[in-house]
Order: sequence, then C-alpha cells, then structure tokens
Amino acid sequence: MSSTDAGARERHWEKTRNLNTLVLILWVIFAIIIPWMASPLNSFSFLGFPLGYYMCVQGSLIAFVALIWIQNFRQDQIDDEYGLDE
Amino acid sequence: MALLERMGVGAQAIGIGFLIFTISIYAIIGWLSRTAEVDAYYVAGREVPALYNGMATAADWMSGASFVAMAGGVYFGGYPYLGYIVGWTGGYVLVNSLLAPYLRKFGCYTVPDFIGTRYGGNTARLCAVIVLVVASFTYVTAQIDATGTIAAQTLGIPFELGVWLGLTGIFICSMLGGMRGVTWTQVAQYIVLIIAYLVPIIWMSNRQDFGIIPHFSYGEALQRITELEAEYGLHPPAEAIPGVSVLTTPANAPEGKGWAMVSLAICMMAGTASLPHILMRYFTTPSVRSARRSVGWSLTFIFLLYFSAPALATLTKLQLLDPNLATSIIGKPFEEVANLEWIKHWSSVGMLAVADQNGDGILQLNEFFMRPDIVVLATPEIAGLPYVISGLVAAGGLAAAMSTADGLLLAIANALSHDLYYKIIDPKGGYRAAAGRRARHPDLHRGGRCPRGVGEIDGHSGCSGMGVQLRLFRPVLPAGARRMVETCQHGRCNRRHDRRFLGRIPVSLPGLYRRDGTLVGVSTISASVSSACRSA
Repeated sequence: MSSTDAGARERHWEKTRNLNTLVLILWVIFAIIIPWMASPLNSFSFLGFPLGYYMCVQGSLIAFVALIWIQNFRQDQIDDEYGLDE
Repeated sequence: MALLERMGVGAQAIGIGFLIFTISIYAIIGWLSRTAEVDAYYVAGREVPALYNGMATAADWMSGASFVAMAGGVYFGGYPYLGYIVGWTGGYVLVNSLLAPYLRKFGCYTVPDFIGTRYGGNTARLCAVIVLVVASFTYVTAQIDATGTIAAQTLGIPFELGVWLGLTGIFICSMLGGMRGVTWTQVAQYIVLIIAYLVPIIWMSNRQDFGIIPHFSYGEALQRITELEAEYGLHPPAEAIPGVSVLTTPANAPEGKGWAMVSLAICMMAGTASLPHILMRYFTTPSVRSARRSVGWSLTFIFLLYFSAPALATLTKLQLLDPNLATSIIGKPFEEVANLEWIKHWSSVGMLAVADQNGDGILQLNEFFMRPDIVVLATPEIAGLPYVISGLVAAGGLAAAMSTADGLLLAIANALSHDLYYKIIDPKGGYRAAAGRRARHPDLHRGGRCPRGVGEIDGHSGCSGMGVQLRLFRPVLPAGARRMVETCQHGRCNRRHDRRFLGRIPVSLPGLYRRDGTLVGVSTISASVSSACRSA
C-alpha cells in the first residue's frame, strides 16, 4: 500500500470515527437523558401528549430511525469520497 | 376468511383456517427456496437485498414477547415499562454504528467465528459458543412455548400438539432451505405479523374517533385514561387471584421512576446489540453498504410495530374503562359483565377473572383480573371486532414466535456445526475441515462447494431426532437433502466424531416441552443420542 493510500485510509477512518462519535452522543441523549428527564418534560404538551411520555413512546424511536438513516447516508458519502466502498 | 364468517362458518373453523393457511405458506416458501448449495444454506448466498433483509431481521427480532406481551406490559406496567420500547429500538443504533458493518466486513459466518478469529484461539470461540447456545436455547424455549400456547388457544387442541404443529412448519422451512428458506419465510412472517398488529388498532381508532392513524392523536385518550384512573382509583385487589393481575400502575407517572426505566433501557439496548441470531442476519447481505442499509430497514420495520404498541395498550384500556364506550366494563353491573362472551371465553382458560369481591354488584377496576400477555390477543374481542380479526391476530402472534424460533435454531445450529465441530472438535478432519478453514475467506465460497453448515446439520439431525420423518419424506426431498440423508444413512459420516456430534443437535427440542414449562431435557437428550447412534 502506498503512503497516499495509507493517508487516505487514515482520513477516512477519522471521518468515520467522528461520525460514529456524533451518532453515539445523540443516541445517549435520546436513549438515556430524555427518558430520564421525562417528569419535567411532562409539563410541556406535544400533539396532545405530555412531552416526556411522547418522547418515550414515539419521539425517541423516530430519532433512532432517523439517526440510522442519516448516519448511513453520510457514511456512504464518506466512503465514496475516498473510494473505499466495502 | 371474512366471507366465510359472514357465511356463518364457526369461530373455531376460522381460527383453524387462518393458522393452517399461514403455516402452510411458510412451509411452501421453505419448500420453494430449498437448496443444495451450502453457501445458500449458510448465509443465503450473501445476496439478500437490504430491504428484505430488513424485513426478515424485523421478524427475527420481534418475538412472541414483542407481539403478544409488549402492549400488555405497557397496559399494566405503565411508564416504567416504556423502557423496553426505548431499549429494544435504541439498541439498533449501536448495531448500526458499532457492529453490523464491521461484522459484515470481516466476512465471517457466525458470531463465535468472529470472536474466535478476532481474539484468537479456541477458548474465546468456545466461550462464545456456550454463551450463544445457552442464551438462544433459553430464548427459543419461550418462543416455542408461545407457539404452542397460541396454537392451542386458537385451535382448541392440546398444547403438545400445538408445539408440534409449529415445529413442523419451522423444520420444513429451515431443513430444506437453511438461511435462504428462513429469510424468505421471515419476510412473509413479517408481513403477516405487522398487518395483524395494525388492523385492530386502526379499527378501534376509527370506532373511538381518533382518525385512521391513531398514533399521533391518541394523546387525548391518554388524558382521558388519567382522569378515569383517578376516578376509579388504582387499588390493589381485596383478594389476589394467582396468575392474573389487576391494573394498579398509572399509565403515565414517571415521577421517581426515571432511573429504573433508564437502566432497564440500557440493558435492553446492550442485549439487542448482542443477539447472535440478529447479528447473523447481517452476514447475508451482498456488501457492507447494504448491511448498513438493512439495519436502517430493520429498525424502520420494527418501529412500525413498536410505536403502535403503546397506542394499542392505550386504546384497549380506554375501551374497557371509558363509560361512554359501549365496550366498557368497569362500573357496569357485575352480572352483565360476567356474561359477556369474551369474558367467559378467556375466564374458562384461566387467563382472565372477574370477582365481585366487595359484594356491591358493580365491577370495580380492582375486581377485573387479566393476564398481561393476553391484551393483544383479546383486544379484537374486547373491542367487539369480528372474529376473523382474532384469527388474524393469532396468526400474527404465531408468525412472530415462529420467525424468532427459526432464527434462533439456525444460530444454534450454525454455532454447533461450524464453531464447535469444525473449528474445535475436528479441525484436521480431512475434506470437511479443509472446507471449514476456507470459511475464513468467504469469497472462496461463492464458487466453491463447501459441504458444511445448516444443510448438513439438518441432514445430521435427520439421523437423530427426525430420522423417521426424514426417511418418510425421502422420495420428495430435493437432491441435495436426499444426498445428506443417504450420506448419514449409508455411513459416509459414520466416523467417530460424527457420531459423537449427532447427540449435540438441538433437534430434540420438541421433546423438551411440557405444558408446565419444565424441561425434561436429560432424558430426551440421552434418548436422541441413543437413537442417533442407532441410525448412524
């Protein structure tokens, strides 16, 4: 493997890792912090639901689905940029 | 089926029709995707499109617990139970970002294969096999129990017969088609189960005026339930009835429960991200990119059911509680309620009870007992929907349990055949072991035939537990499967190792179940070992 290849792999991995870290931070927020904060959030109302309850039954779930699709879209872009599909 | 109901065909006949119809569809799919190619048996030829792999994973993942028990859990468990919903979906973010793409990139066949190769050595591999088998075996017990319960309930047959009926469908599909058969069967099972879950919700929602899709508008129902709970009071029963419970947890009261719920969610997420029969599915996609995409589809399909479950629980609860609805029972005269058809039906099997414990002739909230896991199955009857919907829901529950059992049995079989036998017990055993070593280089498998895997383990199991049945089937088996049976019967696998191996196959499962849930494992296993030695 030539040095430019190695450099490209390095940068590719760095971008992948940053993306992963960002996704995991958002995951912690939706999976842990928001359900934990449900009591205070319940004083707000959303679509007729108390907000804390809504987040647990739908909001966080929607966030998870969106997170996965957005991460995959972004990861495909990164892979294409460095020609490192597979 | 709906036409049949209108024509006056009995409830029993409709239930039987539904279950037989769906089980035979699964068996037919297994038959159509029968294969002699071992690569197809093992990882479905690594050519399952992301969308369908997502559906199959969703069916694989959503077990009897998700389908049958989750809405009931939300109904009775209130807010803390939502930890399951957040946890079981959130785990997929971990699968997608940390596991699936890397596992696919590695190109291995099973999870223990990955662990054994990554951490080096057979000790790690053996540990992974043990964990996988113990966890999956426990899990599959529950699924087969659920299959038996649903079949027995709907068909009015003995539990053991229900178990056998379900297992026949599972075996036909995984025996003939391996991973490929299981994949397409699971796609069909997903479609059945999601329709079966959504139809009653949409139907109830229209009756209660929450619009066609209730998911974004049932907030009002939740408010109403909170009012009604305050009005009726959530008291424990005067006298508890074993096996059934009354509603004592408010639907939405997170105060002080935050940490309990979050820790539950974290456990569920870690668990989701490590289930071998789920991770195994991502080995079947053509590329890393499609493995990622299929995680996206998986969660999308799972999400459809999971965000419906609390809606189902809420709407069902309202059906029972709200005195403005014709179906309500709380606060009604006791005699009237006790004579309702669905109360009598479910009471007769001990899943439900009403008892006028304070003797005032009115059914109070704490006098209505129910087993949490019948909420989904009983909802169509509670809401007064036609019986054909009950049949559909039962078929959906059966699909959920069977698809998970399919995946788990395949995971156990793969771990035993690939990791325990070829990698640990008999690494130098000639042609087969050479093929086993090639497994580390999956590309070799595309062209080369590699006589290993599920196909073979099922061929083996033909020698042990299923021997008689297989021999009966022999004339109709596809060439490959027939060859396996013959191989077993005519002694080409008559080596010492093979014979020892036969006794380890999970095909003795059907013998392990009894109605009371006790395992009679030891005797069955020894019986299957001896029959294995006889037929080998």
